[in-house]
This record gives sequence, structure tokens and C-alpha cells, in this order.
Amino acid sequence: MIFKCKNCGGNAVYHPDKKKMWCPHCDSLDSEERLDSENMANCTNCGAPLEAVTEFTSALKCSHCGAYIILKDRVEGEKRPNLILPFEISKEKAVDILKQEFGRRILTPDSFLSYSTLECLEGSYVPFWLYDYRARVSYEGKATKVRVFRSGDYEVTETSHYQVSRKLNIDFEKIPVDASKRMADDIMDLMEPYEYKALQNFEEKYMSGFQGEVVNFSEAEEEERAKVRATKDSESLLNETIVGYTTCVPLHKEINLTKTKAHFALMPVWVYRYQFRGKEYLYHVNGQTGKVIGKTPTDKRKAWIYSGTVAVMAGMIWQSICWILGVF
Amino acid sequence: MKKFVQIFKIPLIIFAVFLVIGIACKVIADNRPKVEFVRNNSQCTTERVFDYADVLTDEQEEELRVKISEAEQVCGTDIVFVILDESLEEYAKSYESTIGYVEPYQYTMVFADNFYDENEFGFDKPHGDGVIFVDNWYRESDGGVYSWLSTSGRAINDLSTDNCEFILDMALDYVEDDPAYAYDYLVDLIEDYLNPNIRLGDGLGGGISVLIGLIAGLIFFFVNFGGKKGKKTIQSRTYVRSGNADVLERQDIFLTKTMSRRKIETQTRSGGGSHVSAGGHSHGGGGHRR
Repeated sequence: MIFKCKNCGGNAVYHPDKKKMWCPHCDSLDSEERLDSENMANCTNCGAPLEAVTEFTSALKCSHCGAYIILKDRVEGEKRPNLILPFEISKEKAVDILKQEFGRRILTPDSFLSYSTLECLEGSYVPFWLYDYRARVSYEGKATKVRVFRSGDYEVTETSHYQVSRKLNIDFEKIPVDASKRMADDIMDLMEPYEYKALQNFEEKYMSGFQGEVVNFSEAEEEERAKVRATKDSESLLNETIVGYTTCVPLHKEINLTKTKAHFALMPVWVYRYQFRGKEYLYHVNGQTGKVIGKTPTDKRKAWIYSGTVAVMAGMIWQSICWILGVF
Repeated sequence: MKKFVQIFKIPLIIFAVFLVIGIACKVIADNRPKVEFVRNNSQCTTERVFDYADVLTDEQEEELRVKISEAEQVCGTDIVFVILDESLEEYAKSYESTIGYVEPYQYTMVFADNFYDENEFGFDKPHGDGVIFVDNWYRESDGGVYSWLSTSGRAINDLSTDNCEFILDMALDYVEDDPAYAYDYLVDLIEDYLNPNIRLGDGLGGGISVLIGLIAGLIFFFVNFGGKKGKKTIQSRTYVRSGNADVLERQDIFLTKTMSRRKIETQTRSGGGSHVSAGGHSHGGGGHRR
């Protein structure tokens, strides 16, 4: 499947700034026309073989003509996402964000964030399961309040003992768990939060201009991660209700989780891959909020020269101060 | 190279300014005449180490004498060490009619002042510039082992009470294990304070400059090396509908109350400041208890 411009025949893509379909060739807005194809092996636009297709690919860029192709079979039936969070950060904005975060770091290699390496920056829709849960929390425990005060020459410690009990209902809505093998779980967890108000019912046009995947894991396979998070958050919320005590010993604690719904959603992420001296550095930018995850690369040669300069200058400045003080 | 100059332009200018001023100051300081002292008091004894407690060996005593003699020439003050192992309680109390009530920490002070006055120590004149250190190894009736560093003449201003207590704390940390080392170290510390040729900044350069340079270089390296961007920004209520838990039951039932108490220990601390000895001469100094 491809979205073509009715005016010039170019590949129309979704533009995050304009929030509309846009033709980069003739600058037309909302002029797209959907062309379906059942053939998943070849590009709908030029017919060249689609080499980068894997078992989970749902959208990709043709390496021959540069057109963005959406694989029809991968966005239909059971594989069709329920929801999509369209990109709100454009490629230009993502570059600006990366430059703002890492551009001023002194010891980065000169080629880092250079024009040629930023060509590799790609927008990708990552598959997520969003789980809804109802948690029933019940707690019973013993707690103490300790007060220490002075009475004459003595320090008095007064300990009050309490019996504490709580019952809570907590409704969790759309706890996100990524369902992609390509993306590291810890990185995707750090990408959060997304603002769910912008979630849309899935439409193929939002994928035009970006890479995409179907879920790599089933709803049941990923559920454990969501359960762990819901349990941990329930405990935190329970603890927020037990305040003002010096010690608290639980006698009975029970958290029952009931899954009420699960949604398959696509979330927007910009990915920048940078190679330096045989090592790959990965940077992720949340395609909605602009939150950045990544580790600054360091040019070790530059680090030694700069650190040595600082060491010599600091040592000599200190020695000079000693000489200046010697006059007084 | 372009980026290097861009980053280090201002630091290099500051560095050059400091270096030029520093070298100029060093030349000025090196060409300044040194203060030299001539001894004017020939009335007092030449003995400086009185080890009545036999804490030091003869060899150690001799080494201490040589060290003190050199320090006296540099500082222009007499330096006297008296080491005892006897109760000074009765002795000090006998002077209460002259100097007022005497606390245990002042027993060594009374002895030090009197010893200095009676022997007419002083580099420039009898009862003149000097310090006397009395270390009494005897445990007094209040359980304390007391020492006192008494100052006289110019030393009263150069070695304040706080300074005396500080250097006694430093040196006497070692006295139980190695008294010879502790006394030797004490002479060094006294010399640091009383030597007028020691300039501000002496002892802070050289190796310390190298160390500071290394530390600054390492700090720069680690601050700028790598560095992760991105941390967890969700909270426990991020995915909770309406942002809050629905509290169905909340009970806090008071059961009982228990109490315990302990006596507060109070500590006494040795005092100091300028005072007049039984002989009518002004002394300063500070003490130490172990």
C-alpha cells in the first residue's frame, strides 16, 4: 500500500507539524490517494524487491525509490492496531532536540550529529500493548510513632503503638508495555510517558513516512511486565496512605489485579544510530513529547588532551596563587 | 585545534594572567630580607627538655634538644618541654588564693606558668618571648590526663588558645604510642606558627599544586566523559484513572503507649585565654585532656 499525491504522483507522507498528509514533491496538503497492493515482496511504487521486510515489518522505506510502503496484510485483521499516537515531532525538530542535548558536550567526536550521520535518523512506530487493570488492595499492619523529648537531665522516648488497616480500589488505564524485539525494554520504559489524549483510532495514513512493526509478542506474553508495574504502583499508592508513623510492620497485604482490557497501539519514536570507532551508539527521541534517551560518545584522544590542559592550568594557577600569597 | 582554542581561549588568558602575576610575586618575595633573631636573655638555663617522668630515652631527649635549639633560632622564642608523672592537684590548689579557683584542666597550666616564670625563660629577655609545654602523664582524681601549652610575650598573639588546642590535639594523638614522635611533631607545629619567615602560601604549593592539577583534570574528564541522558519521569499515579486511588477503608486504632528514659551525659571542656600567673606575668595557651 502507498499514499500517492493526486496532483503530481509523488509519495504523500504524514507531516507532524502540519498534522496533515503532505506531498514533499509539490507541497500539496491532503492530496493523497491510497493505492493498495497484495504483493508484500515488491515496492508498490517502483516494483523493486523489498529487501528489508522481516516477519514483523508493517511499514518501511523502499531502498530503491525512497517511497514509504505500508504492508496491507500487516495492518489488517488480528494484526491491525486499535490505536495510534501520530508523530508530533518532525525530523527537523528531532535533530534540533538532539543537538540541544548533546551538541554542547565538549568531548564528543567531531562527526557526532553531523549532517551526513543525521541522514540515518529514522521515525518508527513501535508496537505497544496498553493494559487496563482494576487493583483491589487490602492491608493490615502494626505501626509506631516515636517522640523523643528532654525532661531535666533525662532523654525520654515515648512510643505509641497503632493498628492500621486500609482497603483501596485502583483503576489503571493503559499501562504501556512495548512489544518489539528491536527496541530494548529499558529504553522503551524510559521513553514514557506519552500523552494519551492525542491517541487516535488507527488509520494507515499516519504510517506513511515512517517505519512500522506489528506486535512481536502476544498480549498474554507481555502481560507479566504490566502486572509487575501495576503491583508496584499499587504498593506506592498504598504507602502514600500510611503516613506519619516512625515504623510500620505489615501483618497482611494483598493486591488482586483484574485485567479489564488490552489495546494494541503504535507509539512514535525517532531513532538515531551513530557509529564511532567500531561502536554503535543509539539515541531515541519520543516522537510526541521530545524526551531524549542516549549516552554521549567520547573521543578518548580529545579527552586526554583537554583533561591534560585543564590539569596543567589548574595546577599552575594554584601554584601562582601560592606565590602571590607569599608577598603578604 | 579550532575547537580547542574556542573552548580554552578564556581559561588560557586567565591562566597567563595568574602565571605572570605569580612569577612577579615570587621574585619580589624571594628578594625580601629575612627576619633574623639574636638572643638577649642569658639569665635562664640552656636546658630545654625536662623529662621527670622518664618517658623518653637519653637519645630521644638529645634529638629533641637539637630540634628545639634549631626551632628557637628560627622562631626567636624559647621552647621548653616538661614531662611529668605526678599529681599536680595539691600543687595547683595551693595557688588558688592568688589566681582564684583552679579546675583540673588548669593544674598543668599553673605548673607551666610557674616553671616558665621561675626559670626566667624568654628569648629576648627574662619572662619574654617563649612557649612551655607541660605533659603530665599522671591520671588526676577526675580521671583526666592533662597537658598544657603556655605562651609568653610575642607568642601569646602568634599562638592563640584555639591554635594551642588545635596543635595539641594534632600532636598528642600519637603520644601514647610514640611519645618521641609526638613531641617532635609538636615542635614542628609550634615552629609553623611562630616562624616569622614563613610566608602565606608556604607549604601549599609544589606537590599540592600537582595534586590539585590532577584532581581538576580528573573532575573535568569524568564530568565530560560519556554521560547518559534520560531518566524515569513517570510516577506511581501516572496511569491511574483520575490520578488517585479510591480509599474504601482507612482505620488507625491506638493500642498502647510505652516510655523509656536515659540520663544525658555531660562533657566538660578545657578552657583557655590570656591570664596572669601566680608570679604576676601574662601568659596565654591552651590545654588537652586524654
